[in-house]
Amino acid sequence: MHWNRLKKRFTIFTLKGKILIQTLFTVFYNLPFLSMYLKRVPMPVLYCYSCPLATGACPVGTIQHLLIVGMIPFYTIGIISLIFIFFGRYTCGYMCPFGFYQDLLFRIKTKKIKPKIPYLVYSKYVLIGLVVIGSIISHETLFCKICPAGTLTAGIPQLIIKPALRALAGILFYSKLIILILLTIWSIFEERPFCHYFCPLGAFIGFFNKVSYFQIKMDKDKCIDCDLCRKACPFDIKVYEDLTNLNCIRCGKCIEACPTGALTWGVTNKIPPVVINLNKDTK
Amino acid sequence: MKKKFDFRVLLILVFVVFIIIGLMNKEWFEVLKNAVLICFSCIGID
Repeated sequence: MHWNRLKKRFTIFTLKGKILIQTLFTVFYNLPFLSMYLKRVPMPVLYCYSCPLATGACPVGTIQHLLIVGMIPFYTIGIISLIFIFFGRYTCGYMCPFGFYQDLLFRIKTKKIKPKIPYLVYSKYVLIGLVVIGSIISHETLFCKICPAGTLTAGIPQLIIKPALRALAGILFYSKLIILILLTIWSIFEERPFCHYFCPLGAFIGFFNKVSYFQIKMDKDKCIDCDLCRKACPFDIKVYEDLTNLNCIRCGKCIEACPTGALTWGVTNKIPPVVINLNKDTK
Repeated sequence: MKKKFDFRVLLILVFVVFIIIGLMNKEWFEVLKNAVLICFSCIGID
């Protein structure tokens, strides 16, 4: 009973206080006085380590760099995966500053559209290949060359504060800037397009949605098949059919939209257990 | 009696081992070295 009350309060807090949580995490990723301790730690979100204020290291950039220098990124994958196994893509929904940027853009009042190109979601898996195989073959941080989060948090600020770098900005910078501008415009009309279609980190975390402790839970007895959760979902996911969808960023909009309270945040110990029969004689 | 074994515990152990291997390889130093330098690709400089 006490646990249920706590769960309900947590749900209300995360839904009502989402902007506050996202702001606090964005502030945390921008604390340069902590960088002397935390720059050696990969963060569980897409945030460029070349940002003048960056607290920690970008996992995607770090993995690429380590593969280029011939190291297997055990430490980086170990740290981020430990976080993801608890939270899944909750890190995308609530902790990612680039996701927050897209959320703020989506709040601009205009006509909104739902995802229209279903096959485009697979491009993020192609980008995982670019991160891993591309960096090994080319010895270049290829994803960084197109990363809009890098342009926003590192490219533009660095060129503003370091005039000497401005002369070096060429076609790569301007092509990155065009990508960022296009994505910014897209984000005003469609919710989280980068997270949905292009984020290689999000694609990686998606697999942890299946096994993470922190999940969206559904009480089937309370579900009235109204489909409001799917309508509220930015990616049109049928939440009632697939609570652990790879594309779900755990934004909580389905929980907020559910009129009967059938959907809640929860910690699960049921997905997916390996059953070991320790004593075959007793049932 | 059936006892359920949560294989996520095994995954957590694997990732902890990953971290230990990485620490033994001084991977954190490579992460730090990379993070304190300015990434020209991120900024957009060839």
